Amino acid sequence: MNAAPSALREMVKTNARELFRDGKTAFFTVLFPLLFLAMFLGLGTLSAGGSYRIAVVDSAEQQAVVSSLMQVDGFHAETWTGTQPLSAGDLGGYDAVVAVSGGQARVVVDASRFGALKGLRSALADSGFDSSRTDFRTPDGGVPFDPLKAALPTGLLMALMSTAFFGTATPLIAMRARGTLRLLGTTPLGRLTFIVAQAPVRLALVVVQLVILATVAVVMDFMSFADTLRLTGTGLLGAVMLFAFGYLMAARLRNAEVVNGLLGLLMPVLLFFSGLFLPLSMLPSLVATVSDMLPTTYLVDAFNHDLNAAASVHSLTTDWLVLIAATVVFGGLAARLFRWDQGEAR
Amino acid sequence: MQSGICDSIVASLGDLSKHYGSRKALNAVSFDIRKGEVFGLLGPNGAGKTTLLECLTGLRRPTSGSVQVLGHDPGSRAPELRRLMAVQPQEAALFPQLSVRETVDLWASFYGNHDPVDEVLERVGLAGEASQRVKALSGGQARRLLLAVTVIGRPRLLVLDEPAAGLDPQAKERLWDVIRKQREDGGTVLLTTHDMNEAAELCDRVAVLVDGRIAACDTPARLVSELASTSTVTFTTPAGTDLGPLHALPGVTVVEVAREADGRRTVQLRTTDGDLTLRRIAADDQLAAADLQVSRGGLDTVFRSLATGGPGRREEAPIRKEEKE
Repeated sequence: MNAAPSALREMVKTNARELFRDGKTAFFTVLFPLLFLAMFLGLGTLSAGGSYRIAVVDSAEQQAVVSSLMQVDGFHAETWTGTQPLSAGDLGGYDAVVAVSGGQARVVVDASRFGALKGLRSALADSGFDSSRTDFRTPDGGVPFDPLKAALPTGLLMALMSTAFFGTATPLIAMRARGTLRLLGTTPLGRLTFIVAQAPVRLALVVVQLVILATVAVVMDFMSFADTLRLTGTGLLGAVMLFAFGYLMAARLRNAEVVNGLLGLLMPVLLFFSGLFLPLSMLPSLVATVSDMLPTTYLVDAFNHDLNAAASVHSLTTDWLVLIAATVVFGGLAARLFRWDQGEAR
Repeated sequence: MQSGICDSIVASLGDLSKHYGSRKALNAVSFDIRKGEVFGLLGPNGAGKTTLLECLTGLRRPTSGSVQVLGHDPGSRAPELRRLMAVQPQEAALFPQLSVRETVDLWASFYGNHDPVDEVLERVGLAGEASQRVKALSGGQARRLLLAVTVIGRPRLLVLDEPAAGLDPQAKERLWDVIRKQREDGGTVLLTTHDMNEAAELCDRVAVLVDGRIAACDTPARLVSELASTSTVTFTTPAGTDLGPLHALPGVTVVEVAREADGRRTVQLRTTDGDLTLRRIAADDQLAAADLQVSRGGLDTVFRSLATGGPGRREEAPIRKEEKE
């Protein structure tokens, strides 16, 4: 009689309404990761003050770079005409030494003086050396710790995990506990339609999170605008993989409180074993072995290609292939194991 | 002939059993539900009613026996069957952040052919709450919304698990109207209830399930006439009157003093012949009986009797089996 609106479209609208009208879910999926990021950015900004002596090695761009550095509060830039200290690991009493050659800027900075990084990055960008043309190192050849830069992959992964776990798995399990799934299971609504309908609003949310994070990264000169497309690709692949894992968690369980507790524990463990808190090279070999088996490690590695290239270990192709394979495995298992109700006959 | 009978049978259970470990929740249950009837499933708590509904709706697989609903095995979860049958479970929360109208719109979208949303909201008495969020509804309103999403798709078989629980008398009347309309439109209803008045009012046939077995299955009127044939005669008499002769009256099985106050006793007799007993008491000058009343047993008497393992377990099955053969 009536023109029936599409079940998929109505389910998509329902998911959006349930997600955004519920303050608790909206907080954990949207605001919490952004607050986390803002906290790191605040810490990074606080550590940015102080007085720094910076040497700029002789080159055609030397004067332009010195001029840019002198614009930064607390920076005292000088030209350096002596033997390059870069390979010797000796900064000759300076906090940082900048060498420009072949269109690339190489910066060696005292590991304990990471507060200078933000100003250095900004001044070099003003001189025409954006993030793709600069390489920051410590005197021993390592990557200097940058709280701002470290916060971006962490914030991004937390945002994706929150959306996948607290914004997908938890509401589904709560629906099973309340009998909503059981009721839906008696209607003509198909399993696949129901599961697919969860995706659009959550992927839209991920895109918003990626745009915010990418904007911060570009504004802070952590990455070039051209690289944002690749970061978005990584983010979407990672989000789909984490959603598949969220569906897998929600396939059978029916106690949302227990699952929330488990996920609350799982998130920091995954972040730790994925090398976000400490570089994997600093951790025992057993941890590295476990880390190699986690798809989130490859997601972090893929983020690092755009946000912290020096810290990446695998090729981007390897990272993406692992993410796709994990999505297929988690998604396949979730589709096979999903039940409307625990006692459902198959 | 046989084809016509098969067409008229909407659901058929044959020796259906469901065991949970050593516990037999259902034990060789057999009955048919006919097209266009309201079929009531009665039974005390734990009798197996919900398990039976779960087997019938495909949410559980039986241990043995067969179930056919509208020509399908419910266990196969055929999409066609889910279009033709709607289930209102005893308890189920809908989406708390949606409004009443959004909820019914959502359920309407599952069906190609459905009733107008406004008409259904009017029918269940929620037209005034259409824009209210589900989480703000009272318990009774939430149950009416459950009923709305159950009937929106014009199901041929409507399965209602204790639909009147928690409803006020006015809402219960509306529920009954919805059930009657389903029958008028040619649909079939299977409902479970603890309300014998509701069962007597609505059901064309009832089955009483006790300890996982069908204790009786027939029309309410026939069950009452066959299993609740006793009447209760109540009267008052001066305190101290000798009640001994009452035991000798024909058909009287029980004599009780229900109350004693202000020098008078209220006496209740159970009898198989209420009219005769009433006449004898009225004619007995020594009793000086006043306030005479007689009441016949109802479906609740049948239910209590069967639930406590009382007289006359019976099934209507033989007639039906002959028809099918």
